[in-house]
Amino acid sequence: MDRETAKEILSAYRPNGTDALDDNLQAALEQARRDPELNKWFESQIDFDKRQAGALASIKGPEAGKKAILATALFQDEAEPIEQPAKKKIVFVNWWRQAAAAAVVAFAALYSVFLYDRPDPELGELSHASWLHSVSILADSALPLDKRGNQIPAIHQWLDQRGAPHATSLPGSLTHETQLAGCRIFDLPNGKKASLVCFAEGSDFVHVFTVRKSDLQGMPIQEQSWERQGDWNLFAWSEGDMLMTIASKLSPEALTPLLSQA
Amino acid sequence: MTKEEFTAVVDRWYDPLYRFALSLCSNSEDALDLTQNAFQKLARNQEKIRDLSKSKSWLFSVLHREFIDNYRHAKRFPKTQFDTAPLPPDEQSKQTAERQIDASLALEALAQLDERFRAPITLFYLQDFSYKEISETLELPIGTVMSRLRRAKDQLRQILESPKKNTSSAPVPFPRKAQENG
Repeated sequence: MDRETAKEILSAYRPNGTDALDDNLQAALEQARRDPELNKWFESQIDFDKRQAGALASIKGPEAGKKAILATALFQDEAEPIEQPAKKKIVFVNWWRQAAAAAVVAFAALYSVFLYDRPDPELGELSHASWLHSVSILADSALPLDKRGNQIPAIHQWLDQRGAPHATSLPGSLTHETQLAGCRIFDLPNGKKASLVCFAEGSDFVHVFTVRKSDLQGMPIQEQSWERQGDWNLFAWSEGDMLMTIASKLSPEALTPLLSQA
Repeated sequence: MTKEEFTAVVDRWYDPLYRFALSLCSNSEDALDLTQNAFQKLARNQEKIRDLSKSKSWLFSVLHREFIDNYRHAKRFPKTQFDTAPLPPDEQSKQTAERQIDASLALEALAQLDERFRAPITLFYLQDFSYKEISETLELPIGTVMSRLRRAKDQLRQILESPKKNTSSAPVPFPRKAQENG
């Protein structure tokens, strides 16, 4: 074979040497051993390929993306088939089913807070505790984000464009020490909106729920104190008309440094 | 496919698949979407994939097809025009280019490649695919794969050895650790 043909074949040779025994490459490899000029070209190419492959290998996918893939796969026991033993099957919940389920959860949780025309004594009074309970349920539901992003201004602009509230300012430590993931908007039963801005701290999340105090119909607010609801540690503070509530599985001790400006 | 088998497949192929997606669309958010969609389709089609060893080519094929069908055609990613007129590289710029190859530069260079070459060369550099597997995954003849690999490398060298191109190209968004769920 001529030198150019050999170069084309050798271009398929992976720099990790995996293809050394490939039948189709053997002849070209042998020719490179006999032809000093071709061999020099081949060595240079291997070096170039190693650098490129190494650079590409240094890229890691977002860890939370992998977690989301595994978390959104549900395993359901199948009815026992005739010919083989029952086996767990992976199914993904369709996004619209997730959205529908999320809407139900959001409505049920928030309805207990917003008792407007038909107050139901069984649902309790409009209280700060019920608000925190709603927040913990929403946090538990691990709803997918509407908008992903890692820039606060862009996320706030996106929320502004949709009439959703957001914190006018966030603790500097929170924004610097954690990774912004994105946001989600909730429609409240009274037609108003609340928002969630989500940060990742290692493998944990810090959720910041924001609602306008004027949309809470005078609900008494207890600020700057830790509450625990289920697995979630909750902390609320307000600024102007905005009530922010943090929900995280991190301990108050771990969260406090992140909220130093809260 | 059991939960354990699926988890093993995700653990093994999540990063390579994300790298492949990122090289195709040069956008971390869309790369993540493509990656997640591919795994979702794998889960939904588990009955069709009885041999787990086939999941690799299946995942990459699905992702590539989705990129072509839904992303490239929707013009979500403006095609990068590659100047095919070769610039004669001097020795100094060649050495400089070779020293500066890092992840973001590699991605920038891949983004400037002719689109026909980007998928095969990225699969090649992942080093998990032989040229025969690239041929099967991208549904291209083996000769075409070899030819495209050669030409892709020639283009990459030109891009990386051209100081003007390196300094003028827009930086590729490079995620620290983007997140999915709230």
